[in-house]
Amino acid sequence: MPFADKTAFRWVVGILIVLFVAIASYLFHFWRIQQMPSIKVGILHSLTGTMSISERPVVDAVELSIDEINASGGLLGGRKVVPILADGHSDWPTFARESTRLIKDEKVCAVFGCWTSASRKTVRPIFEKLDGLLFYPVQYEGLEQSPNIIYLGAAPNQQIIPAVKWAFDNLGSRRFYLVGSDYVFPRAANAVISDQIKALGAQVVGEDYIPLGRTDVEPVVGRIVARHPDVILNTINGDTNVAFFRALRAAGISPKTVPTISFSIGESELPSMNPSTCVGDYAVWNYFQTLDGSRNNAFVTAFRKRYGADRVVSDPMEAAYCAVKLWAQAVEEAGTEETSAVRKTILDQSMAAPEGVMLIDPETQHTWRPVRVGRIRADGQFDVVWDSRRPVRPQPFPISRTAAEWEQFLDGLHTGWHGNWAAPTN
Amino acid sequence: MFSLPIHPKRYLTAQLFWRFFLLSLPVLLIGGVALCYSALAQMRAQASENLAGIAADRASKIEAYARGKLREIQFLAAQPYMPNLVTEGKSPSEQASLLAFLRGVGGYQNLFLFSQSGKLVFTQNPNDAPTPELDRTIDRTRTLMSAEISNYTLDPETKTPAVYVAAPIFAHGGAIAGVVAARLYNEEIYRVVNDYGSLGRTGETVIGQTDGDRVVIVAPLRHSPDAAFHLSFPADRVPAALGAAVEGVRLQEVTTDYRGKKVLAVSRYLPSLGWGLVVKMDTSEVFAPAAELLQGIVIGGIIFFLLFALGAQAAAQSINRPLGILTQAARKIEEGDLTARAALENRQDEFGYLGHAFNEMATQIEEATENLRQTNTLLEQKVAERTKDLEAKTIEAERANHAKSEFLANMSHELRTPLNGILGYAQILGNLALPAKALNGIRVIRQSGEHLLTLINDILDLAKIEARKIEIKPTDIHLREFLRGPIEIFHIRAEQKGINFIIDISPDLPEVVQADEKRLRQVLINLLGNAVKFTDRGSVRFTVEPYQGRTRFAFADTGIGIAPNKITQLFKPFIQVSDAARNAEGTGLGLALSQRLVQLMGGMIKVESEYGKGSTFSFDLDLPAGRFSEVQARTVESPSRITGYQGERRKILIADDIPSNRTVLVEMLAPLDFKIIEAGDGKVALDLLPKEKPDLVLVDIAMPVIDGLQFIQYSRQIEAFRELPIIPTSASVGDDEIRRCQTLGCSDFLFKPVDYGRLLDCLQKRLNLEWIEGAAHAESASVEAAEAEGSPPILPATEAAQFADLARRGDLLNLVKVAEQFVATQPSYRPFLEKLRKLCDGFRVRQVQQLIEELSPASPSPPP
Repeated sequence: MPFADKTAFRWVVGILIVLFVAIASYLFHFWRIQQMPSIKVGILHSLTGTMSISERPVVDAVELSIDEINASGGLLGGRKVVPILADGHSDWPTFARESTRLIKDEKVCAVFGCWTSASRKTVRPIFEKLDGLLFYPVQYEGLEQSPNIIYLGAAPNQQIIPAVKWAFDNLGSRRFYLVGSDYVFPRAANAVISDQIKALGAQVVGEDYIPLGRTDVEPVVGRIVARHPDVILNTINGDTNVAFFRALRAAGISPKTVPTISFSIGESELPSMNPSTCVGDYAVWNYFQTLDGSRNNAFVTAFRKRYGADRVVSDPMEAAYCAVKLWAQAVEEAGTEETSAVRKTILDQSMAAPEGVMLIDPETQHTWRPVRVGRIRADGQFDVVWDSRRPVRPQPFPISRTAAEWEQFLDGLHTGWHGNWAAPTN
Repeated sequence: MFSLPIHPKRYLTAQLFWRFFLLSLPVLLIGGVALCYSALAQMRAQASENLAGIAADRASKIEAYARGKLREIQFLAAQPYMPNLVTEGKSPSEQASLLAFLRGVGGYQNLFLFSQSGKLVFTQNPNDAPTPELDRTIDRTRTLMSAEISNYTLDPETKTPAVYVAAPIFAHGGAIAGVVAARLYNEEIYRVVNDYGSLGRTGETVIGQTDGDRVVIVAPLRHSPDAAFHLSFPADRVPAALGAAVEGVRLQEVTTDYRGKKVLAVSRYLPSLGWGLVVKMDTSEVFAPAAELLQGIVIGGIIFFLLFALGAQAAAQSINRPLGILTQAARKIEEGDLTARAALENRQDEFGYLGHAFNEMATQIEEATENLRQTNTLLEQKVAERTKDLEAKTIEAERANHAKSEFLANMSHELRTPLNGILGYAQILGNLALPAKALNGIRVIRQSGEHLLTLINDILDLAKIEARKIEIKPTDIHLREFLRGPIEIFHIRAEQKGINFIIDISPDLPEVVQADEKRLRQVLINLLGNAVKFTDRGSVRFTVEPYQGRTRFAFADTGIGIAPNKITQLFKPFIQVSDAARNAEGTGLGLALSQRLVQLMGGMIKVESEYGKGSTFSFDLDLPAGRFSEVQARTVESPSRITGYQGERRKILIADDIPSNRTVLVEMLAPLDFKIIEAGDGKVALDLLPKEKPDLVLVDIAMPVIDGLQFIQYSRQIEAFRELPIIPTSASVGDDEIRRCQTLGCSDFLFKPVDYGRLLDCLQKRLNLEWIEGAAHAESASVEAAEAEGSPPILPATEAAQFADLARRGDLLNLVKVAEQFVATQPSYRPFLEKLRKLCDGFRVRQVQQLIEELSPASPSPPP
C-alpha cells in the first residue's frame, strides 16, 4: 500500500467518494438539462425572392439572439431554444402557408418574422385564428393593432411623422413629393404624411407609386423634376430604389438641392445600391449601426464575429434581435413558454437595447423607440443628425383621423387591390 | 450510565459513537444546509416576487396617471369649442364665457391654451409663466400631432419641479388650430410615488431620470424627503438598480442602494416620463423572516444534533453494556472462577442468545475441567504405582543383568582356563620336530580349540552387542594370510565330510587391507562353518572378490538349503532353522552374531537359497587398502623356526595361580633357553623378585592373595624394579584392566590363550633379543639350494593348464594335492612341488600363479 497508514488511505477513499458524488451529480444535472424539452420558435422570412436581400440579414440577427440565449444557459432552467426556419419566398400565400405550418404542425410558441406589411397583413388573421404570437421587426404604416402581434418596428409617429417634422423644421421643406412602392405601407404612410403636411400648413406637390420590383422609374422622376419639390419622401421598397436613385441623379436632382428622405433604406440595403448615388440623402430610423454606446458596440461586435467583419446591421435587424430577447424575458417572467402566458408577460417588458431603452407598450403592443435621422455616408453608414433622445410612445393610429377612418382607408386599398395588400405588379 | 469515554481506540462505545457520528454528521450538515438553502431561496424568491408586484403596481399607477392625464388633455383638446378658443379673430364674448369655463376646470396646477403660432392665449394662473420645457412640449405636440407629456424638469424660476401634458387642437379640415397644455400637480405624482403601503419600515420608491451624463432623483425619498432634483449621481456612481431602471433593464436582485445599504431592489422603466423606478427594501427587513427561519433551523439543528449524539451514545451503550457483562464473566473464568456466568439470560435479543451460549460454554468448561482434574489424579496415582513397579523391576533387571554378566564373565573365564591348556600345548607340540602329519593334527587341535574359544566369545560378543558395547577397530591385515586360517579349518572338515571345498580368492584384491581382523574372522568362520555343516554332498565355494568398489565375501554351498518361510528367522538369536540333528553342533548364535557384526562393519548378510539345493550367503564390506610393509614384516616371521636367541641367558618369572597355564608358558619358553622361575600367586612372585632378579615377569591378572595388578603396583614401588618389564596376561579381556596396566608402565598385554608368536614379539621387544632360527633355516636353505641347482623343467601343457586353473580359482589345497600326484609319477618335478607347497602354505596365490606361469610351455594363454 503506497499510503503511510490506514488513516491516510481512508481519507483518500473518502475524498474520492465525495469527488465521485460531485461528478455524478453534475453529470446527472447535465443529463437532466439534456433531457428537458427544447423551446421551439419559428422564424418566418423570405429567404428567397425579391425581399430576401432585406430579410436574410434579419434571420441572421434572430439566430444570433437565440444562440446568445442558449449559450447563456437557455430558458426556464436550462431549456434550449430551437429555431424552426420557414421561407416566405417573398410571396404572401407562402407566408400564410408557412405560418400555419409553424403554428399548427411545428407547434412553435412564438414566430419572429415578416418584413413587408403585405406579408404581415396576410398572416395576421392566421395568427389571430390560431392564437399564435408574431414578433414583427420592421417599421410600418401603423393603422393596425393585433393582440397576436408584437410590433417592434416603428409606428408612423415614430418614423414618418418625426421625419416630416424634422424636414419641415430643419430643411425648411414646404413642398413635399411623395413617392413609394405600390402597396399598403407607402399608401398608408403617405396618407399619414399628407395629414401631417396639411396640419403643418405645407404642401404635397406630387404623389407617385411604382409597383414592387419595377425599375421603370423615369416617368416618376420626370414628374418630380417638373414639380420642383423641396424634399422627396421616399417609401419605395426593394430593388426599385436602385433605379430610382440612379434616375434621380441622372435627372440632376442632388441631395443638396432636393434631399430625399427614405423610410425603407437602411444599412442592409445601401451596399446593394451603390451608396455614392445617395450620399447626403436622409433616412429616418430608430436605430443606426453607428450609434454610440457599449450595448450597441457589443451587438455589432457579436454580429460581426459570427457573420463576418464586412457585415452590417440595420434597424429591423436590431429590432428582431431585441424581439427575441424581450420574448425570452417574458418567457422567464411567465415561467412557461406557452403563448397565452407570454402574450401577457411580454407587455411592459423593457430592455437596454443597442438603440437605448426599448419597451413593449402594454396598450398598443407596439414598442417605445427613439427616433433618429441619419445622413447617408459614402461607406453605406449614417451620420445621426437628429435624435429624439428618449423613447417615443408608439401611436399606431395617428390622431389626425379616428381609428375607424383609418380602417376604412385600409379597406379601400384592400378592396381596390382585389383582396391583396399590394397592387398587382404587372 | 452516560459516562463519556470518547477515545475511540479504547472504548467500543466510543467507536460506535464516532462512527455513527461521522457517518451522520455530513448527512446532517448537508441536509441542514440544503434545507436552509432551499428555504431561504424560496423565501427570498417570495420576497422578491412581492416586491416585484409592488414595483409593477407603482409603475402601472404612475403610467396610468400619465396616460390618464394625456387622455384628459387630448379629450379637452378635442372639444368642439376648442378651435374657436385658439383661433384669433373669433367673437371675444363667446370666447370669454368659454375661457371662464376653462378657468374653472380643475385637476391641474395650471391650464394653458396656445394659438397655432404658439402664442399663449389663456392661462389659469398668470403667475405661472410658461417654462422652456412647456414651449418644447407645445412645439412637439404641434408638429407630431399627438398628445405629449413633457420631461420632468425644474422650473428655473420657482425652482420647483414641473411636468406638463399637451394636446393639439385640430381645426375642421385637419389643420392644427392650437395646443392645449396643462401643468400637473407634483403632489399627485408624489402621492403615488410616496405610497409606502406594504413597503414595511425600510421600503422605498426611488424615481430617477437621465439628465445628460447624470441620473437625477426626481421625487422625494422616504429616507431623504428633499432629494427631488437635489440628489443626483454621475454615470459611474449610479446605484445599480437605479442605473438599470433608467436604461430599461428589469432588475430584481439584492444590491447596494444610494445609502450604501444592502437592499432587495426591483427596477422598472416608466416610458411616459422616461423615468427609472426602483422599489426597494432593506435586506435586513425583507429577509428578516428568512433570517428567523435560519436561526430556527440552526437551533433546531443543534437540538437535533444533541439528541442524535445522546441517541448514538445510548445505542452504543445498549450494545456495550451486555458486552461488558460478557467480558466480566469471561475475565472471571479466565482468572479461574469457573462458576462465573453472564447475567444476560433474561434478555430476548441476540445478547440473550449470546449470554446463553456463553453460559453453556462456561458450564461445559467447568464440567470438562472437573473431569480432567479427576482423570489427572487417577493418572497420577497410576503413574506413581507404575513408577514404583518399574523401579522394582528395573532394580530386579539390573540385578539379573549383573548376575548374567557376572555369570558370563565367570563362565568365559572358567571355559578359557582349560582351553588355555589345550591351546598352549597344541602350540608347544606344533613347535616340536614331529612328523608333518602329527604337526598337522596338532594345528587342527589348536585351531579347533581356538574355534571353541571363539564360540565362547560369541556368547560374550552377542551379549556385548546387545548391550552395544562392541566396537569395530580396523587394523592393517594381510588379507590372504588372514583368510588362510579359516580356510584351513574348514578345508580339513570338508575333507572329512568328503565334499569339495573350493576357494576362489580374486587376485585383484589388495594385499593389505584395513579391517577388524578378529570380527571379520569371526564372521568368516561362522559362515564357512555353516556352509560346511549343512552340506553333505557336492561342494562349498568360498569366494572373495572386488564388487562395486567393495569387497564381496560369498559362501555358496550345495547343502540342504533353507525353506523360504524360514529365511526371515535366520538372523534371530537362539533360533535354529535346521533339523534337530544338526542343532547339537552350534550355539544358534552364529548367524545372528555375524549379521550384527557385518552390520557394524557397514555391510549386510544376504541369503539366496533354494530348499534342498543349497544356499548362498554373501556380504560386501568396505576394506580400504592398508600399509603393506609393517604387516609383511610381522608375517614373514615364522615363530615355529626360532630355536634360541643370541647373548646371555635371560631369566623370566612366570606368575599364575593355575599350574597348567604356567606349564604352557614354561613349555613355550624353556626350549628357547630361557631360565624360568614359577610363582603360584602374586605374593610368592613378589617375594621371589628381589631374590631372583628376573629380567622379565609374565604375570596373570586374576590371582588369589595378590592379583596381577597389585603385584605390578607393589613391584613398581620397589626402586630396583621400577623399570622391570612386566607383561600382564589374562583370560578375561577387559579394556579397563588393559588401561590400568598401561598406566602402571606395562605397554604390552598378552591375552590367554597365549599366542606363541605374540609372546616372542613381546620378549624380543622388551629384552632386545636377537632370535636364532633353527630348522626353518635348514628348510629354506634346502629350497634355495634347489633353486640354485637350476630352473625346474617346464611342465607338460595339460598339467600346466590344470595347475593354472586351480591357482586362478585359489583352490590351493587341491592344487597341492594334484601336484603331489603328478610329482609322484614325475620325480624330476620334486623341487617344483616343494616350492609350490611352500607358496601354498603362505597362500601366495599370485606367486603360485607366477610360478606355474614360468613353468608353462610356450606363452601361456591369458586367463579368460
